[in-house]
Amino acid sequence: MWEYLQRNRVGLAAAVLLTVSLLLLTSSVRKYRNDPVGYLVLEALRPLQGAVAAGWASVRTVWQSYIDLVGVREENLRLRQRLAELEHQTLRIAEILETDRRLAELLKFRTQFLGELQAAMIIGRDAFPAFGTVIISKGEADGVRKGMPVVSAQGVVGRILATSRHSARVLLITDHNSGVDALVQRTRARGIVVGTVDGRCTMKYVRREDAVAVGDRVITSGLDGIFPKGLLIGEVTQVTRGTRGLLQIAEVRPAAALDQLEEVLVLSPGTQWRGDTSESREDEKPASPGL
Amino acid sequence: MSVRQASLFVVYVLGALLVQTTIVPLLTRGAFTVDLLTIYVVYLGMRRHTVGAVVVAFFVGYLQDTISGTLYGLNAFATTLVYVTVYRISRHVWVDNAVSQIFVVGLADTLKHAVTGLVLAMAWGVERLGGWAAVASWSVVATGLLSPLIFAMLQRAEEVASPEGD
Repeated sequence: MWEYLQRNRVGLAAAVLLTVSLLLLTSSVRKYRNDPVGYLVLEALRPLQGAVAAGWASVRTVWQSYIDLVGVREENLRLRQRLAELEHQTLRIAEILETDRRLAELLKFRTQFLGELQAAMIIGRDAFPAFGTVIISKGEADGVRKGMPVVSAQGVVGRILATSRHSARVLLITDHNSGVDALVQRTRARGIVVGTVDGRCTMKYVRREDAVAVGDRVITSGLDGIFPKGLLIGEVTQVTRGTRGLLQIAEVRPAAALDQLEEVLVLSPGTQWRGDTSESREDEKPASPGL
Repeated sequence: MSVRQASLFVVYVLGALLVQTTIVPLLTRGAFTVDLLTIYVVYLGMRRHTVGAVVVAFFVGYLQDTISGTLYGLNAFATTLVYVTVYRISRHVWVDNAVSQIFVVGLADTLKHAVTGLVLAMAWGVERLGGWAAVASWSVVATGLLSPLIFAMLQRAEEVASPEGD
C-alpha cells in the first residue's frame, strides 16, 4: 500500500489538487469571494503594473506623437495637393466665366450687324513687336477673304491681311501699314487713322479748321469701302496743331484692347452696322443710325 | 526546492503575471494572449516529476485565478490538469527539442483553453463564449512559438539558481 502511494504520489497529489480546484470552482460559481492571496498578489503587482503602465503610456505618447507628425505631414501634403487642384479648378471656372462673358458680349454685338459674320479666335500674335498682326482661327474654308474688316465688341480691330485654308492674318489698326478712313463723331471732321511703329494710332489729314478735342470719339466713315460706317475706332487723347500748315494730327487710343483680344468678328463684304439699341451700351454708342 | 529555486519561481510567476496583465494586452489589444504561466507549468511537467511540482502547478493556476476572472479554481484546475498531462506524456515521449516543446506547449495550452472553455460554457452558457475559439487558437499558437525561448531562459535561470552539485 505504502509502495503504491509512493509510486503514484504525483498522480495522487494531482488528483487531490484537482479535487480541491473543483471544490473552489463550485464554491466560486455560487458566490465570488475576496481571496487574501489575491489581495497580496494585487498589492505586489500594483507598483510594477503602475510602472509598466506609465512606461507604456510614455512610449505610446512618443509613438503617437510620431505617428501624428507623420499623419500631419501626409495630411498637409494631401491638403496642399487638394488646394492646388481647387485653385486650378477655380482658375478654370473663372476662365470659363470670363470666356462666357466675352462670347455673350460678342454675340450681342453680332446681332447689331446686317450681313454675314464669322466669329474667330485669336490663335497667334506677331512674333516681331514692331508689326501689329494677329492670327485668327478662321480661313478661306470659312469664307474669310483678304481685306475683310475685323471687329470686336469694343471696336474696330483691323482687316484681313492674308488667308490660308483654315486661318488668317489680321492687320491691326495699330500697325504702321494700316489706314482706316475715319470721322470725329462729334464734329464730323474727317481723317485717316493710321498705325505707328510703336503700336499707337494717329488720325492724320484732319483739316486744321475742324474742331477736334481730347475725348472725342473717332468712328469709321465707311468711305474706304472696307469698314461699315459708324464703327467705333477709339478716342482722341491728344491733338497736335502746328503754327503753320493746313492739317492737324490727333492721337487716338483704340477702343479695342488689341493686345488682350481673344475673340473677333470677321465681317463679310456688304455687311452693315445697325448700331447698338441696348440701354447698357447707350453711353458707348459711337454713331447714330443716320450717319 | 532550494531557496534560490523558490525565489526563481516567485520572480518568474510575478513577472509572468505582470507581463500577461500589462504588456501583452497592450500589444495584442485583446486579440490573443501569451500564456507564460502555462509554459512554466509545462516546463515543470517535463522536468520536475515531484509532488512539489504538482503543488506549484496548482498554485500557479490559483495565483492566476486571484487576478483573473471571477471563478476561483478554474485556472488552478486547468494548470494542474496540464501538469498531469505533460507529466504523463514526458514519461513516454522524448520532448527536449524546440519543435517538441512547441508541440507540447501548444497541446497543453489547447487543453487549458478547452478545459476553461468547457467550464465557462457550463457556468455561463455557450452563447456567451462568442469569439473564444479564435482568441484561444491565436493564444495557443503564440504561446507555443514563444515556448522554446522561455524554456531556454528558465533552464539558464535554474542552472544559475541551483546549488552546486544539485
